[in-house]
Amino acid sequence: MNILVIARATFNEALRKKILNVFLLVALALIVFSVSFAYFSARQEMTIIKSLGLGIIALAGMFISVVMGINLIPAEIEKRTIYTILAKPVRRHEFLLGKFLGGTLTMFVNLLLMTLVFMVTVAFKNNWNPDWALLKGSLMIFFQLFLLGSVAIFFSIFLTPAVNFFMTSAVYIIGSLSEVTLSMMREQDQHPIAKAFFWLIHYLVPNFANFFTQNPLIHPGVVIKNEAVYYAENILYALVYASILMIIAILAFDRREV
Amino acid sequence: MKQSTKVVLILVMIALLPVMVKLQSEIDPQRKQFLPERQIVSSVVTQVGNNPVVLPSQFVAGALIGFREVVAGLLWVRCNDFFHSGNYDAIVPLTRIVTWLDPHQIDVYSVGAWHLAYNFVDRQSRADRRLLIPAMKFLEEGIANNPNLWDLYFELGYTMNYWKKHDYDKAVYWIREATKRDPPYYVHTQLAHAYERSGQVDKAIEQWRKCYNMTNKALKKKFDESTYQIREVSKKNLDLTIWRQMDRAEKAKNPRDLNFDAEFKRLGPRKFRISGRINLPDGARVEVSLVDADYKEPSPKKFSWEVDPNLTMMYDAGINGISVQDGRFDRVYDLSLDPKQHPLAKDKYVLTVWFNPRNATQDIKDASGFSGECMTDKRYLDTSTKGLRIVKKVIILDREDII
Repeated sequence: MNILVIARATFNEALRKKILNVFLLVALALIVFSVSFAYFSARQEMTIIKSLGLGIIALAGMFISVVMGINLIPAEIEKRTIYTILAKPVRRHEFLLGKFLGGTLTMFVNLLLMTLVFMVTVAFKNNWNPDWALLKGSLMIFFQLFLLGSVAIFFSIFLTPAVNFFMTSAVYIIGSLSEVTLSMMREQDQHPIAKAFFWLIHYLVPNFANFFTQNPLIHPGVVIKNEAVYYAENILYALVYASILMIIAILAFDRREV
Repeated sequence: MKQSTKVVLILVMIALLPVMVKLQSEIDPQRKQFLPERQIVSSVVTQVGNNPVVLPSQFVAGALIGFREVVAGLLWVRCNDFFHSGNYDAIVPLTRIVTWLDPHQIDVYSVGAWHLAYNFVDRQSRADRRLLIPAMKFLEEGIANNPNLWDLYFELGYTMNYWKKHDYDKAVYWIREATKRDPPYYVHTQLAHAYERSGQVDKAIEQWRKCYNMTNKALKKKFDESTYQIREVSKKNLDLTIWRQMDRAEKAKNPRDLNFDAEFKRLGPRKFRISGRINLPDGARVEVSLVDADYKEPSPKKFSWEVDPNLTMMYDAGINGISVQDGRFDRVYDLSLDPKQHPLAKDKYVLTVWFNPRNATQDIKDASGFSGECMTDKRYLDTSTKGLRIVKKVIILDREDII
């Protein structure tokens, strides 16, 4: 119950933050702007609108997620409101999970708004025929950002917001390089130590590249075999990884002096 | 927090770790379905001829962190800007990079190949024939990456083999492959044209009938203006082809003597005139090529930009051939204007002047026949290709004859 109360408070507070709204507005404007490529053929135009739209949602979502995630806990410590909350019968892990849940809810609402505008934009360019398959892309972006949010909160237990910003961004970039780490790992003439290093990176750093499913969504010829299994495994991966991070965060936050 | 709770949490966490690794190893092979064959790092720098093409750093960063399709889309927008400003040189390398980043951008393959085959022209608007094979290989790469879509099969059949290379047997092959992949109706009609040009007139008639039946059936379900037009065209062409087959069979009994001849005359350094006579109606096209004597068409396994800078391969073929007026043809060639495209670096050249009825328009074919069955020539009739009669004069030239 405490978790939900804190989540709601976090959500309300996040909505008031202007910087997040700026990201959201810029993203919405860019999505609408992407319809201006009218000089392409209809099919090319749709490909570009869809790829740009999904890309803008992912990029804006990433910024919103990182900027919000790195401040959720430190802001409470800095403003000393955490003392008031923890003085009440609220346990630390409830506070942490409430914050995470509130952040995720904020992310979800932002993503929902962007997706709505994106879907309307695509439908508008397609004689008001909506492309419902694109919702799968937004779903994957949501779980990517869910995972990213857990990384940001996890680091916020140990790091200042400025350092956390760079750390979370670095993890995001490395985690998005799975095509590279996978190929390095499987390189025949790679040194065993280097192979082990890339194995560690590939399997232990959160693999954000898993969630980029734009390609099959924008190209009619690209089909994912066992699509439901693929999406389910990715969602499960995000949940499992976020759970691991939250467990470590709970254990660390429990020991931390505030 | 109680110590026991902490222990449970740690145990749960440890239990989740192998689950996470297992999930990732399950996801990896599935992701391969829509990843490019090459790793994107190799597309950061590529070669076009001897020039390295470097992907701008902001695009590299975007592509590397997962926004591959976005970067491909933005580069494609840039290609379009270059196209409208006439900067064709910049387009082709970009199309290469776009297709490396996203090998499912079929329009990029078709536009890139079209640029290569058609738009690099000399000052007399003659396309650089050396780029035709790279263009076709580019499309083949696109087909390999998108085997279930009809588009690139059709491009290779129609835009390249039918219109550019005039290899109608291959055009039939590729367009037929396109028709197996649920294309729009016009692809089926182009197959009929390709059958006719490859000399398979009965199959062309059969294909027109098929097009008519197909569109007629569709129109009974739902009226559509474009389907209606294709049905009408199919009906008209079906009737016309049957009529032409009968008419030309009749004319073939008394073939027209083309009395063909052609001559080469040097006018100055790298400048010469091709002229001659042919007994065909006005508007017929006599085709000309000037190619290194030792040239053999390569058959590369993979797409490559590499073009032999010393190769001379000048073609005035198809609709670019020399127009016949009053039974004569004449054109001045000035290869000095474009020494890069026509280097003339070898010692010997083969100059070929020919008329191929399969490349002709229908009004000319009324005189020559579908495959030359209505024409003959005492000196230059060439029947080396089975089922085809063309007139052809081959002149071997030394480099000194031209430069």
